[in-house]
Amino acid sequence: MNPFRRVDHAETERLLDSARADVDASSNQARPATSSEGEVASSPARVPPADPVAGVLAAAAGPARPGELAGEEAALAAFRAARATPAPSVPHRPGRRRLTTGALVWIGAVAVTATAGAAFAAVNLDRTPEPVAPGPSRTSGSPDRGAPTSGEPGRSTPPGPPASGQPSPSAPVSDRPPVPGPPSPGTPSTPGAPAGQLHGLCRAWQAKKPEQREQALRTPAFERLVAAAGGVAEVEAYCQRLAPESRPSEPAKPKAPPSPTGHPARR
Amino acid sequence: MVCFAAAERGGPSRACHGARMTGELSEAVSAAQAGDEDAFRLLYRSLQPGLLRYLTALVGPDAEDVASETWLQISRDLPTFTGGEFRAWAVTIARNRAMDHLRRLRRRPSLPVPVHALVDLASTADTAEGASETIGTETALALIATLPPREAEAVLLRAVIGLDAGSAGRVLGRRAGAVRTAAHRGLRRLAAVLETQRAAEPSVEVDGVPPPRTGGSSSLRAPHAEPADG
Repeated sequence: MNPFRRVDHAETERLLDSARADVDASSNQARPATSSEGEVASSPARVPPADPVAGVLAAAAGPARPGELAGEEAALAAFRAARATPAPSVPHRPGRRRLTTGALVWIGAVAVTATAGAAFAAVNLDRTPEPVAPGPSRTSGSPDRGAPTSGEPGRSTPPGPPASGQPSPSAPVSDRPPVPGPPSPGTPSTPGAPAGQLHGLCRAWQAKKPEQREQALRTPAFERLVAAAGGVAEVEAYCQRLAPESRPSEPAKPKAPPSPTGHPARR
Repeated sequence: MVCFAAAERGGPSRACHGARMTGELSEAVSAAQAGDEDAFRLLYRSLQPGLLRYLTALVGPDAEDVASETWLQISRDLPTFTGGEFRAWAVTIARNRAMDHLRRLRRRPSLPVPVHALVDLASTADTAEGASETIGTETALALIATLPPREAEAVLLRAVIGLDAGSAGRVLGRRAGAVRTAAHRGLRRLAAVLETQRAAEPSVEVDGVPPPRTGGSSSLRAPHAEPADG
């Protein structure tokens, strides 16, 4: 009665293959128009199959419906973000990379050895009590106390106590607050994730529909973002600072500076 | 792109379609790996509808969320993709995300059966002769989703995503033969459902999907000895 009951696997395979082949034909014809969603419904290449099962399969594999591509911008934002901070191990050209890595390691080893030797020698010569404390160097030295050390800090200062009673430059000065070091970076407390990645996560999150945003934050994909923002409720403000939403088409910049405190949130 | 030129002249063959799709896709994959956004967009547009439909069968209304997680991971892991069937790679990611999602929800991958879809199907199938013009994508997917999960997955991977049996087997962690069998049984079940719809339209009974007939041929033994998914 039903012819399909008698069919074998070959017929099944043919049916399964043909369902998708029809779609490929129609979607390829629609693709040069960059899949403008207007002509999604029309599929000129589809012929009505006689078999009802084939009809179901062809319909199931039918061309894209408009809502199905709604996440395109979010996906692209994720793609940009991933490009901004590429994966740590990308084995593109293993041979060449190994060579480069080897050379770098070698250079690094030489540099470390040389520096360590010099530092060791310096320690032996100077017997400075705190060799690691940077102290006011000659480049950023405060003008009132830059004089006693001569131009070369590592070598010329004798190890004995300074005759003039001045504290040694590397010792902490008690009567002054410690100088805020110039290299202290302004990165907000995001220990694990680099800023570019968070920026991309923000972009991906912002590209979601508002009613989906809260739910998205419960997924592990945005775990890091929530952690960096300090909670689900803080994500919006955080992302607003990190990646203002007003320019969605702008390519993601990996090092968008977090705006200073007085900057009002733009909408 | 010989096939593409042939298509412009008109009347491309089906085999040409398959080859062109694969070639186009792998070109787009390498371009996207090199940072080409348009290529990535092309990948998205060619894969996302199928991914979303497949995920709908796995996680129901959460499919969109899982799909966006999937694309997040695809774009992150794209540099590590070393070749092969890109669709299978992407679908594997999607399936893993779906399984994680279900694990989080402590739910089995089963579907709420959309009865109304079957009712629609029954009425339209009777009024119109050409079934393909009246069965919408939504209805067809709902119908496939009424199949047992293994069969539904096999049918969707084969017919909607467009994988061959071997690739689908790698996605599912099963042999190609098991995928063929599952798809075959799924299609037989579909045919039986459609037939009962046609024969007796008023009694739309979802639970009335007939059990698979295993007496017919020896190749249709139930593959219950396989490893569980996930």
